Amino acid sequence: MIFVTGGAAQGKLAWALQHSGYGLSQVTDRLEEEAPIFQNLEEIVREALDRGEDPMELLPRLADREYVLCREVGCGLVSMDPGDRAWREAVGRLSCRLAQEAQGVVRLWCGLPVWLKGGES
Amino acid sequence: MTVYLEGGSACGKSRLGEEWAVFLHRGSPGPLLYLATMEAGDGESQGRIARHRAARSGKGFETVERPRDLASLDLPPRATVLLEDLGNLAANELYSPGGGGEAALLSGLERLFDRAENLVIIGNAVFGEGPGLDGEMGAYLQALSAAQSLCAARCGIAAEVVCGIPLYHKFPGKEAPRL
Repeated sequence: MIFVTGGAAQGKLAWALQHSGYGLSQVTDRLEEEAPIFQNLEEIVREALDRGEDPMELLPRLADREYVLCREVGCGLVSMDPGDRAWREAVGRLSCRLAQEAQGVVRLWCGLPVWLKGGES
Repeated sequence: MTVYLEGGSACGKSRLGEEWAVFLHRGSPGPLLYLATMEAGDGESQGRIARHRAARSGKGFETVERPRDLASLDLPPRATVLLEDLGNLAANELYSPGGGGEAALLSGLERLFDRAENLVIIGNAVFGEGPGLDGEMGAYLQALSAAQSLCAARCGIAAEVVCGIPLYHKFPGKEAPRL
């Protein structure tokens, strides 16, 4: 699995499509759908928190994807809203775990892939 | 040796900072100090403090609580210091009773650089979204930026931490070419 992170609209999906050769039909953001590219993980984390679940339990359902895309959140001022704070921390912790388990970690910055682990670093 | 690590919420910067501090302290005769800046207010910050304390336990740190005024801190000789973190320190200097503002923030850091044998400083990546410098948090962002720029300039090593992985922007012997 290659874990792809980076801020909003930095080119995560475009890079994953180009790197894999897959098309949009092989992209999903729903856990119950089989697809090699999983995107918008941060939204799935929010849904898990809303249901009162531990987002770390998402791990086994992500590890067999080829690419997992997650927006890098938590780089702004700490939110006044406790729910938002819990969300950005949960996304951060899950991202650290996924980065540990991934063969490669790529961060998109202005459309440019920066390899943090494995790959073409 | 001095190390500056900066990252967003829950990016793994604390853990990396602990690893660096323990590494730098090896073979040093001085104490290994954790300079804690967070004031335990509500249950959330108490929980955060407890989590960090548990993560540090068994690694040999002696905790020194110092929410502000680093300039008058009586630091033992040859100390290896892990300072966590600049975001809290800046908020305390700017907004807590007895805080000395940006001037105290910067002079306290200068003093720490002058006195510690090894120093690891944790900074906060908070500039990636939000209202910018015109908002009501403008003064805070300016002060924090000044403090973090000072640390990145004075430290021999500086890195951004992403998903627990350090992205070294400054490292001895690895300098950007002059163009």
